[in-house]
Amino acid sequence: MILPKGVSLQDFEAALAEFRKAVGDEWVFSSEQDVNLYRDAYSVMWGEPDEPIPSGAVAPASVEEVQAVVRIANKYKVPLYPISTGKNLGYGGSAPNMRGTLVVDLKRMNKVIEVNDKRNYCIVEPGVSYFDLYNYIQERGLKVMMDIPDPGWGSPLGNALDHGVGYTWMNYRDHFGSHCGMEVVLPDGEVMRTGMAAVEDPKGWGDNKYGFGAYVDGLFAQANFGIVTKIGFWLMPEPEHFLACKVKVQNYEDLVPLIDTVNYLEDQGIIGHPRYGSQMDPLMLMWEPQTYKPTPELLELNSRPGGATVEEYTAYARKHGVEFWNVTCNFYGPKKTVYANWEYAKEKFSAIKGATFEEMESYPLPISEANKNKMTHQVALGIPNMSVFSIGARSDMTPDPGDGHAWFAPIVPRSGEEFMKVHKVFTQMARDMNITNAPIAVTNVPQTWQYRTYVALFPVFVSRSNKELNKQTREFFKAMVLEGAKHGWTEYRAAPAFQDLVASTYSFNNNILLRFQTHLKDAADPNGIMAPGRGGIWPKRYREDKS
Amino acid sequence: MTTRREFLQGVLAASGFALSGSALGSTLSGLAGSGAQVPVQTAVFEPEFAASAQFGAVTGRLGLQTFALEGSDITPLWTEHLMALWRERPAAIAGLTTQMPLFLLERFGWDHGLRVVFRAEHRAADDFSVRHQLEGPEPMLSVFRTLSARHDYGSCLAAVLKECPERISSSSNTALTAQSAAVPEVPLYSWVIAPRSVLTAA
Repeated sequence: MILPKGVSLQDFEAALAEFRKAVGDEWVFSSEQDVNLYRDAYSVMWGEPDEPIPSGAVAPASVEEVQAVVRIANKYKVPLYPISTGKNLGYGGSAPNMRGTLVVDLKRMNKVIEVNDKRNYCIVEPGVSYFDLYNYIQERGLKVMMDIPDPGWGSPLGNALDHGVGYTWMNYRDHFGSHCGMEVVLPDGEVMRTGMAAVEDPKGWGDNKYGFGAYVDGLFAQANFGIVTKIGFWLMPEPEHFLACKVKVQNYEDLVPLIDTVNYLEDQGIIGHPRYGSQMDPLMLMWEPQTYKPTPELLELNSRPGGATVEEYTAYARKHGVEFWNVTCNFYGPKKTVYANWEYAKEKFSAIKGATFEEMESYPLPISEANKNKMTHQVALGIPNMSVFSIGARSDMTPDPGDGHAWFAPIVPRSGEEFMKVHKVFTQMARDMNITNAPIAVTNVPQTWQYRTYVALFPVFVSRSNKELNKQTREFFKAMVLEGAKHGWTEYRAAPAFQDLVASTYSFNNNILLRFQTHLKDAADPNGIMAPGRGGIWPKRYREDKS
Repeated sequence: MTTRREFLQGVLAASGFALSGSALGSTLSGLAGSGAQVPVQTAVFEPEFAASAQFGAVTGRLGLQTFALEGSDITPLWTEHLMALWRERPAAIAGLTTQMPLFLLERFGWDHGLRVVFRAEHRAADDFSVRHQLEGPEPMLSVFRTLSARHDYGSCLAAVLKECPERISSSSNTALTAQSAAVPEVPLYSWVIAPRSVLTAA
């Protein structure tokens, strides 16, 4: 049995007995077989002595049961780690930051409280998945569209609380930014609501985020100040038409005017999610093999640590008659408006010499079953699916066996010049450290899921059988975090193994941000039971161990 | 209701092997009636892999509902079948697939009170034979060992996977290599996902 740090076996067993009384015997999990289900399937520390495996799990079914669990945890000082659907693969999955923490599995709290398609919002519990919410909307013929990430099995609440992202329109892609009011069980077991949910008659819950006074919602995302048990989200009304069009440019340096034009169009609301691509980006070859087909020559170029040179990729593109960069622009709205916006966009992009244009997909909405099955990227219409897993698994670029990956995801200012610096820095690092288990190249494209944010993302592959590879992965990842931070590129999200390091890179004024967060933590959670270490924030009782 | 003996006879008939008068038939007769089984309702397969297609064909002829995955994508299986089924009750399913469908279905299963109670890897040993590594209840392993001497593994697994005991108190391992006309280019995995309640303390 793995015990929580600082908790005796006697106290832990007493706590488990009280958890069983609170939620029912069958909803407390302490056998090795059950606890193993909560391991991070993509852990960079798989099988290591300090892999953060939980001590057990408890699955409450209501806010009252969550409160009871939290009060028991305080009594015995058992640290807790809440999960929603626990599917945050690549960023830690369902495993806690600290080995021995008890998971609070909120999957049983799976009610859709409300979806309103006149004021365009929903209110959901943590165990509701994207599939569940989509079905709820479809079954009732409600005229709203979700913004979703790739795999549909995640939780809108859980995803938002890890700053998760999506694929549709402007601010909706920022899932935490689109939330509106929450209900939280605090570390002392009290229930708090925020925004208009804090009003006795919370009929405005889904409308206004702020209500009045200090806005505390951010304390519950990528942090450890409570267990969120309900959350509101703003939803987009279902538009009348969807149009996806591609712009192609020929030269590496065209990335600069391409990004400038995209920013101009997106920030004034002409286009939705701009999806960048390159025929030679090793990550695109993994994600969209139906569009980006690897040749043996290209696989050789991409197999080198850090990939090939700009000149070599340019020569490859010329030889094969393909563009260097492309961007797919999505348009939503009435049909005449979306086509007018596309005409306008083409005018602007035409300033880039050699730019070409292609209309990819055009569908009236609500989308027919036939069109839905034709769509290359269903998430652009908020249709949840699991295809990202099968696509990746079949790609020649994915290692065999495929044991998963950790996402390296630094935020980069939205300029082509800056992205070219990213290419230079990280490809050189890959060469210097001889890294071959990450698809890094000067053809990597910016990921634009979160509105007004570019992320220079790539996976670093892990292994369940090769501890030496995982050690190298951890060292490389840490080196990249530190090097990126020197350039102002810091992570927007990270697996628990790296959260302390990532938090330390927000270092202005001697890490005052983390010091302030820690100060609040000590006040709100004096027993240090709520998700120790999440977001790099440690309670006093465990902080002293680390110093 | 089909008896176990009738079921095993059906497997052999479906795979083109006549039961009566054979030593194998006698062996199979001896296997019949050894306890209650978990009712596996759905068999999942990937038609582009010969052994998996064979598994799908045989399980279909044996009366299981079958579901073909195209390109290993489980989305239609989940949205059109399992999501509603598992919301209602934790019904057992079985499959012979690539790794990713098992990985995903195992996790979906956890959320609905199910566990993988049998799993096996089937990997090319050379151009003509397959290395099988199985983990699960001994009765299932025993049926596989017996049948695989005479039948390709897609058909064998159709019989094995439907023989999952209703109560499982322990798990065994076995490994063997057998000739096959369906050597897979990538490893395939056979599995049974069943209600957690079938797992009992030893």
